[in-house]
Amino acid sequence: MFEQGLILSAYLLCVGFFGLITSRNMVRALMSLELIFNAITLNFITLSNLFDNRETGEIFTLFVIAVAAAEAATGLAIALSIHRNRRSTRIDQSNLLKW
Amino acid sequence: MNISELIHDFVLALVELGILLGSLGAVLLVNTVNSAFSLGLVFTCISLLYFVLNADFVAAAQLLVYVGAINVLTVFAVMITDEPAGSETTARGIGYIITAGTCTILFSILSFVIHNTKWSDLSLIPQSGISTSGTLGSNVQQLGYKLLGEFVIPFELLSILLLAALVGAINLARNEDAFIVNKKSAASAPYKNSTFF
Repeated sequence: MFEQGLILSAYLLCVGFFGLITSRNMVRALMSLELIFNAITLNFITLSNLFDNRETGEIFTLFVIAVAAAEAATGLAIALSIHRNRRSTRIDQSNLLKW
Repeated sequence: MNISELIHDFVLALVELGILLGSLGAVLLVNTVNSAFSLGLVFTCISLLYFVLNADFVAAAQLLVYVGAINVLTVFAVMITDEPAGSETTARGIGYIITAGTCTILFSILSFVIHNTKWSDLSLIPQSGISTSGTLGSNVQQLGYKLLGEFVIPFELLSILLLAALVGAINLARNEDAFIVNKKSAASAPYKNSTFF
């Protein structure tokens, strides 16, 4: 169960990295980022299940979830704003901040 | 006893299969709406896995925040910023293959390390205390005591962060031109479109 959880979180991390690098849509990149956050929280919960004082890992997981919620709200708002200005959410086409 | 273990293993395998296939679908599906719903499946399965791992409060929080808030937000963002069909090119270039190979190698290294580590030696505190204090009420109560006792300053900072992020998100996503036009039209003809008058 323990190693299973760790391998599952490693798998989620790799799939999230793969999606983050290869996706051209900005919303899809944010979704892959959520996958990476979930891999990290799954790792925290699995490791805190191993040790005795398990509240610390769960509290850190709650913090990570809250920061991920803030990140998702801000990132999707930025994607919406870019879509309104550029009519596209492709990452390779959004070169507004490039020199 | 054997039957219950069998059912437990079966449900666990089902949840893990949901995570495996759902994450692949979230990344690889061509239609973005389908991948958003697949992401919802992954979040739900991870929440069920937290229930298995004796983390009830985090499982409930995961279900509420991820499935209820972030996934709905993602689906709305996908629907608003819909790409025209065909702009999402399915051409798999050389970079695609390189990234796939790199991620496979990373996963192989990670699983190798996980398999070759003696986790039972690592546990600083003896492992007997896993299921002794595992009842629901005491766990959630201890979580609340720690969250408002030892971790009170990060907790409050987190609330400030959430407030600032949400205000910033609303400020970014607000369409100012449409807002001004709406205000002008509302000022000129306030009851024109209302169904109550």
